[in-house]
Amino acid sequence: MMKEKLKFLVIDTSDENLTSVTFYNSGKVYLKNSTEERGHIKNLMPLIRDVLFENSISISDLDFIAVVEGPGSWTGLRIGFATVKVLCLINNLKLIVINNFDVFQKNFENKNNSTEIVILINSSNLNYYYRYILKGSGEYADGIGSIKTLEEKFPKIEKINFIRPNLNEYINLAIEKFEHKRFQNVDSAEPYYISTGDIKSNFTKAKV
Amino acid sequence: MIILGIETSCDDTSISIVRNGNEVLSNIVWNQNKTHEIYGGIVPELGARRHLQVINLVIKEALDKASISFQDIDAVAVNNQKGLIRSLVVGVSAAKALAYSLNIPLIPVHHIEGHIYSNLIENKNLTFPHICLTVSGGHNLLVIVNNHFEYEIIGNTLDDAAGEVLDKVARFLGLGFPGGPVIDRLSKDGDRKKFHFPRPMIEESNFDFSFSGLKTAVTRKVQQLADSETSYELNNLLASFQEAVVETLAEKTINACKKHNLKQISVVGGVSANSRLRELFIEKSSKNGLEVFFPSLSFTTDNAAMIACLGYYKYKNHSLGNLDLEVHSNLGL
Repeated sequence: MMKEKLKFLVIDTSDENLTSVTFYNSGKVYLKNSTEERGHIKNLMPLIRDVLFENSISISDLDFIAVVEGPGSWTGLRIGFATVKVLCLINNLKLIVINNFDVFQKNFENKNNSTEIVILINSSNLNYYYRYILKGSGEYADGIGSIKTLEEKFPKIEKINFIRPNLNEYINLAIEKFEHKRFQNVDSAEPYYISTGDIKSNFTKAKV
Repeated sequence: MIILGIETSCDDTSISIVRNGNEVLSNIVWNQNKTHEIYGGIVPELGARRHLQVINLVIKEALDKASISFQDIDAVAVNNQKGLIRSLVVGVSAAKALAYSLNIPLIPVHHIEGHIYSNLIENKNLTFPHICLTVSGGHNLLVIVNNHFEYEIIGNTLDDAAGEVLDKVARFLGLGFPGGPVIDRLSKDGDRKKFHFPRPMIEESNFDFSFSGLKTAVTRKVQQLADSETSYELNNLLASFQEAVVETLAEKTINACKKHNLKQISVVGGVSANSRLRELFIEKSSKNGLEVFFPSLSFTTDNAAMIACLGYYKYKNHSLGNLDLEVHSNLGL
């Protein structure tokens, strides 16, 4: 299907303080969100209902639903996944998952000259989820740690750039996955949980 | 009217399809005991992950077993009022997605109220008012049920619930998790008069419970015995301990019935599956001219049939929820 004709939702509940529902319709983007702290359970389904209603779209008219898999708030992610899994099951919709790190990496890697990049995303208790990228190697490692741990792990990091996620990058990644038919099995889908672990044992072949 | 019930308060993922409040077309319970037994108790984060892993499969199995499709469902009932928050949100999210997609009512219900209604699924002779003992690992209440949705709580546990103390003693003795069924089984070969353990608060005129001291009495007794003796006396120890728990529950419930001039007793919750508890309640009720009712074993532990049954009466009472429904870990009845 041509990207100009696609209709889909992007659901993001990975941030403890944000519940966001984006509707993409043939190149146009419609966003609705709530910034209520830990308000995912209360706000997600009403946001989905309102977004579809305000665009006069029935859920069964969607081509797929994309959900952010994390890393992020575990409970928030589970609310997003439980909602989306059942919506997809009943309405026979395809499911696409989007990793926060993949979005940042795709955007940031090409615009930066460093050979090593560390992406940080806020976690709880002053910890950060991190992705360490060896540029050009196609390899990365994901983990979680405090600033002190990260300073020890990555002593060569010199510069910190603060970047904000751009909604278009989530949409573009969703479309790219749709075009490559990289769908997630609806029944077995679950969030991307990161627990503490050793960076060396965490190296994974790049998937982005 | 067909209601799909959802129950994910703790470690069981359950979906049930119930017609007209008492015809159970399916009641699927995905038990997580294997996941948690190595930890000797429920690990909330693991429980929540398991709920999410299996939720779609359990929904599909419940529909298949009931031989219905999504379009046949008239309403969705879900427990959103007692349990572990991270487990409850999985069930409530699923319930909202169902209610929205199928454009059907969403009915929020209370977990303990669900247990009270578990005895109304099959027992047509259980009427109002009656006294209800809810007893499990998470709750231990004596409630006068005056009518639908009219409750008067006359007794509560001051510390551990009866099911919790059974689990804790079983864990202390290395018997695994959950402890209730193991203690029930091993006690059958034991002498329940071999050791005397206290019947906590049995002489008091109120209807509250306290099992923490009983747990301490059992652990002290075990510490006094040599290892070989504990092993030799294990069944006797368990039978004596179990007798103290169930006799306390039965005495207090019978006394409450007498004081409030009620003739029917309903015993619900996981511990109501205990065989000695049933035996003793029947014996004591009969002696006192009272009637006692128990749910079928499959409706004693956490299950969604009771949620759907209660949902039916809530629907008739127009007690419906909206898509902005929230969850509560410990809301009162």
